[in-house]
Amino acid sequence: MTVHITRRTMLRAGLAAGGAAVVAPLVSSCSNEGRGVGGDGSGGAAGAAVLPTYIPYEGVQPDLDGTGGVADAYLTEVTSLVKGTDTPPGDGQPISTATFISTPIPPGVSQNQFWQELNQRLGSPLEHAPSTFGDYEQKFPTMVAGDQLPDIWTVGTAPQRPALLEAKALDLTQYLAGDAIAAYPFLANIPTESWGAAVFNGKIFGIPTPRGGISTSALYARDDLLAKKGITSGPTSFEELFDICAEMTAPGSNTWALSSQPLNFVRQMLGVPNTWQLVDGRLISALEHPAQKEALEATRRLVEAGYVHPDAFASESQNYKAWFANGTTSMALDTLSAWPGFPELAAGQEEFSMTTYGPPKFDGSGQSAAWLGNPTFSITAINVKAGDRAETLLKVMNYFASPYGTEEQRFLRGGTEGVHHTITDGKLVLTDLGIAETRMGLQYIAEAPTVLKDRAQFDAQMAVIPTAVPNPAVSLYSETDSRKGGQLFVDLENLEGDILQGRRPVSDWDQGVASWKSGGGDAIRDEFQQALDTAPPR
Amino acid sequence: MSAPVTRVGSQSGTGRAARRRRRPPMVDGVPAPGPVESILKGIFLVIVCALVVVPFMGIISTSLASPEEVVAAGGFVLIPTSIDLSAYRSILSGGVVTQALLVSAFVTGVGTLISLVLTGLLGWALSRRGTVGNKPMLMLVLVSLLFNPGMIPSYLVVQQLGLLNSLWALIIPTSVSAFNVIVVRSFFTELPGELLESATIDGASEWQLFRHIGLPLSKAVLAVIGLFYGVGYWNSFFTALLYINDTNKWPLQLVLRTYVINDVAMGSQELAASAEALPPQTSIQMAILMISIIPILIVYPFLQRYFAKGVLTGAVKG
Repeated sequence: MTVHITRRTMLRAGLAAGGAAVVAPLVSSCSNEGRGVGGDGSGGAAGAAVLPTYIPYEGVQPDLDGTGGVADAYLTEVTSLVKGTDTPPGDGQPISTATFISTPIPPGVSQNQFWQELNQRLGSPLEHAPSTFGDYEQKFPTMVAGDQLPDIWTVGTAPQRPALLEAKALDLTQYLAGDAIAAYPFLANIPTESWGAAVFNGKIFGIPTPRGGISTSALYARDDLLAKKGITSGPTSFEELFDICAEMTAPGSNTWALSSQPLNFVRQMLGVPNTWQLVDGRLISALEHPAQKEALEATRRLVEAGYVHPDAFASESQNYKAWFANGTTSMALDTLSAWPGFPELAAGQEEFSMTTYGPPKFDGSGQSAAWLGNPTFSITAINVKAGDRAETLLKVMNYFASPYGTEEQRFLRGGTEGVHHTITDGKLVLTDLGIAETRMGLQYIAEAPTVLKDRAQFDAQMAVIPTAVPNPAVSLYSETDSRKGGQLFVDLENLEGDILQGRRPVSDWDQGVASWKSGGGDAIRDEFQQALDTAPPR
Repeated sequence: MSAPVTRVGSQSGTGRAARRRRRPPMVDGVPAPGPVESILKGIFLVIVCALVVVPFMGIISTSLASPEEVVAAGGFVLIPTSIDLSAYRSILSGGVVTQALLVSAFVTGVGTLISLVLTGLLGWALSRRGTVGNKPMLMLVLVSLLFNPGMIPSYLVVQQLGLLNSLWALIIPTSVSAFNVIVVRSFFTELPGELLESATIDGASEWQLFRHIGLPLSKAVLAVIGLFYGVGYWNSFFTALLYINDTNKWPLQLVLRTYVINDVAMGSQELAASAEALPPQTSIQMAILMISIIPILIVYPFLQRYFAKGVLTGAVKG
C-alpha cells in the first residue's frame, strides 16, 4: 500500500513532534529570573569614581579650536606627523576582532598589502571579521550563544546588556578607571561624556567610539538655489520657513523645498525637549510635551501644501541626499556628520553650495536650541577569556585610537603614501588600491575623537552644537527600552506619518502617547529614573 | 436523385456554402481579429512589455551611467549619454568580487550536485513501499516542513559539526529540502508499477531500477529541482554571514550586499567615519544587480524546456 501524504498525515506528524517542541520553551520562558529591572549605565555613585580621567592629546595643534562640543578642525593635512607609539603594541599572538564595517569589505589579508603592513606595525596578526551594520546585529547573538566571541568585539544589540557584559566582557575598571587610563594616552583622549555608555554596574566594560556633537541634526540648505530666489539667510520663524518652502517649491519643474518631513526640526523650534526632560530631578518624556501637537499640525501644513518631496515618506536617506545634491530639493534635514558626503554626491555641479541652519524659535523671538546628538556610537569590549592578555589588547586598542596628526592615524586612515594615498593640495586622497584595501572597519575597534577638515563645516557646527540640549538619559540603560523600545518607536513613527499625511487627525497623538506609556514607555521612564537617581549629575 | 452541386469560386447565394464563404477567417477555432482589434491588442502588448522591459533597461543603463549622471537624473537613467564602466571597475577591482564569484560558483555547483543526489535518492527510497523505516522517515521529512529550528540552534549544530568558517557550512546544512523531496517522491510514486515489476522480474536490483528507469524518466523534475537548489545556493548569503568569518570565503551575494545596504543601515551618523570614501551610488547598485543575475540568465535557457513540464509534476494526476 503506497503511503499518500494527506492532510491527516501532515497533522499527525506535526502534533507528534510539535507538542514537546512548543511546550518546552513556554515553560522555560515563564520565569522572570535574571531579567533586569534596568541597568545602571553610569555605574551609580561608584560610577563617578570609575570614569576615566580625560587627558586630551595635545601633540598636534589644530587650525581651528573647537569648543562647546565642536570638534577641532585641520584645514590641510598635517605635514609633520608625530610618532604616537614607540613599539608595536602586539605580543606576536593573533588578535581576533569582530566589528561593524560601513564600507564594502576589503580583500583578505593574503591579497591586502595594507592589512599585511598593519600586522607588521601591530606586532601581531590581526584576524579581523567585519560585518555590515545590519548583519552584525543578526550575527552577534549567534556568536554569544555559540561562545564564539573573539578577543575584541563590538557590543551588538542584545537584551540584558549588563548581564551580558558581566558574563562575556572583561572588567576593565582596574586598567582604565581614573588616572589608570594614563597608561593608554590615546584612550584617555576620549571625552568623558562618551564613557558613560561603557559603564555598567559600576564597572567599565568597553571602549566607546566617540562622536561628540557631530550626530546633531540641522537643516541643510542649497544656498545657491535659495540665492536665485533672493533668499540669502535662514528662516527666523516657522512662518518664514513656510514662506521659503513656498518659494522653493515648483512641482511643474519637479522641484520641492524639502527632502523629507521636518517634524523634529519644528519640534526643536517649539522647544520640545531632546527625548527626555529633567524637571526637578524627575524624567518626563518629550512625547508628553504640550507643544507636540502644535509641531505635528505645523509640519502637517508643510506636507499638505506640497512642499515636501512626494516620495519622501516611501524613501530612504540616500534618496534624500541625492535629491538635495541634484537640486530636486533645496533643503534637507540631516546630521552634521553628513556634511562631507553632499559635495561628493554633487561632484560635477560647479554651482553647488550649501549651508546649514539651526532651529529658530517658532514665533521668531530668537534662536532655539538643537537636540545634541549621542556622544557615543558604539562600545567595543574585550573577551572575558582574554583576561591574561588584557594589557596587550588595550595597547592595541590604544593604537587604533591614535589621534589625528600621528603617524599611526595617518597609516590607519590612508595606508602607505604613494601606494594607498596621495596628498594633493593639502588633502589626503585615497588611490583605488587605498579605497579597496584600507576600509576595514578598524575605527570600530577604537577611534580617536572626530576632527573636521572644512572651515564651512566647522562654522556650521559652531553655530549649532554649543547651544544644543543633550538628552539627560543618553548614557543610561533600560532593559525595557532594549527589548521594546524599537517597536514602540516604530509604532509612534507610523502614527506621525499618518498624521502628517492627513490619514489621521492630530488629536490621535494623545492616544498614541497613551499606548506608548502603557506599552512600555512608563516602565522605560521608571528604569531610566532609577538609573539616574543612582548616577551623579554630569 | 443527384447530389447538390457546390460551385467552386462562387461568391453569391444563400445556402450553407454561401454562409461558409461569408464567415470570417478562423484562427485556432476563433474568429481572426480585425484590423482595429489587432491594433488595440498590439498597443496593449507593447504597454505590458514596456512595463517589464523598461525597468530592466533602466537597470542596465544606470549601471553603465556615470555616478554624476545618475545623481542628476534622480537615480534612474534610461538612456545614458555616455558609457561609464566606473561602477563595474569599482566593484571588480581589488579582487574581492572575483574571489567571491569563485566561491559562489563552487558552492552552487557542488551544492546543487550533492542536493540532487541526496534528494533523488531519498525521494526514490520514500516512494518504494516496504522500505525499512519508510513511514518514520517520511514523518521526519514532513515534520521538518512544519518547524524551523531557528538561527541559534542551527548555528550550534554547525558549530558542533566543526563546520564553522568552512565552505561546507554553506552546503551541508541546507543540502536537502523537504519540499523538494516531497516533489520528487510524488513523481516517483506515479511511475507505472507494472514497469518496475517487469524490471524486477527480469532480475533488476533496486539500484538498477533507480538508475535505469527512475532517473531517466525524472529528468524534467530533477532539472526543476536542480534549478531551485542552484538559485537557492547562488542567492544565499545569510548562512555565510553566520558561519564564515574569513571574508575570503564569503560568497558573491554577501560581498555585494556590503555595497548595497550599508549606507541605508548606518545612516548619516557614520558617513563622517568614511568621509574619504564615496558612499555607494545607484550606478554601483545597478551594476551589482547585473553581476548577480547574469549567471542565472545564462543557465536558465538551457533548463527552460524542462521547467514547465517539471513544475507540473505531481500537480495533475492520471
